[in-house]
Amino acid sequence: MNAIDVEKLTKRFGDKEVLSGLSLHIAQGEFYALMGPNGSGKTTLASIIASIRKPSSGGVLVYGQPPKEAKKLIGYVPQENFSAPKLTARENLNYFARLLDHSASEAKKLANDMLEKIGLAGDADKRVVKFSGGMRKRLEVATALFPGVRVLILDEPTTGLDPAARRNFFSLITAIKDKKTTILLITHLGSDAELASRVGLIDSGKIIAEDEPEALKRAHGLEDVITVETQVKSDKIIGILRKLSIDERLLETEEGYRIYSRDGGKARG
Amino acid sequence: MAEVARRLDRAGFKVTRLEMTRPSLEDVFFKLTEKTMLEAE
Repeated sequence: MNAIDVEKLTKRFGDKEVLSGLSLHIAQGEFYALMGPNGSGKTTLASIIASIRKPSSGGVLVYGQPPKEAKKLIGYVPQENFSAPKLTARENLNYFARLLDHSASEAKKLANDMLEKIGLAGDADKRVVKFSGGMRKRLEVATALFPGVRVLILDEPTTGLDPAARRNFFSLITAIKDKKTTILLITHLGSDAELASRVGLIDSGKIIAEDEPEALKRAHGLEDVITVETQVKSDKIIGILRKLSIDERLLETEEGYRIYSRDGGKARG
Repeated sequence: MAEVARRLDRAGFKVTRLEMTRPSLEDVFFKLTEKTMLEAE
């Protein structure tokens, strides 16, 4: 059974069709990135999977159930911050745990466990308004990863974070998620999508390509470009570069040499 | 990449620039749609 099955999904807002017969299948434990520009329909799709919106036609199943019946399996972190800024991290986690019907003692334990896991134990009693963007996003992910969650949907989670904070964020997600937890990442950033095991490119409400990140690049003929410049130019240099088996296409430029390779890694020798 | 520099150096050629640029997923999107992520907004 897949974690997520989307079949011929269409969503219209008035006359505007935002999703156009889109189909998507994501396996259990997969880290799938849906990448597209604003307005491509990716957030609408995420909100339908999370049972926040209803489709106009077509179907969505999460672990074989309609999203409304699978709510407890789904953790959804929208793009906008939703943690309460005037509450502390601990109070926020307690609040969300109680919303999910955990008892007071369970909520307290869950909050403590999550604070440890996300590295915020030392800041547990600080008000969220004092947090950096990265700390706040980590806290919000924690509220979506309580026990029982099997599908974590992250909508543009790294907006506003610097590159180091973005890398830390995804390392943390990988570390704290259960191996069986499926991640659906919604993003417009290629650098974030590359971290996924599979990427779907979405444009105008349709998936236009889908594969592993490197396979997508190769399938569309995109090549690594290796630029070599030397103090002097010589045919001997061309000979050396060819011997290194990186001469898929070798171009001599005014400044030096440019190698177009389907696998620049070969240049490492 | 290091091997390229090493072999050229061993042959007496001083490398002044050696870099590899990898294509991005934004490049794939552009190739398919002729739109950038920003243009498509």
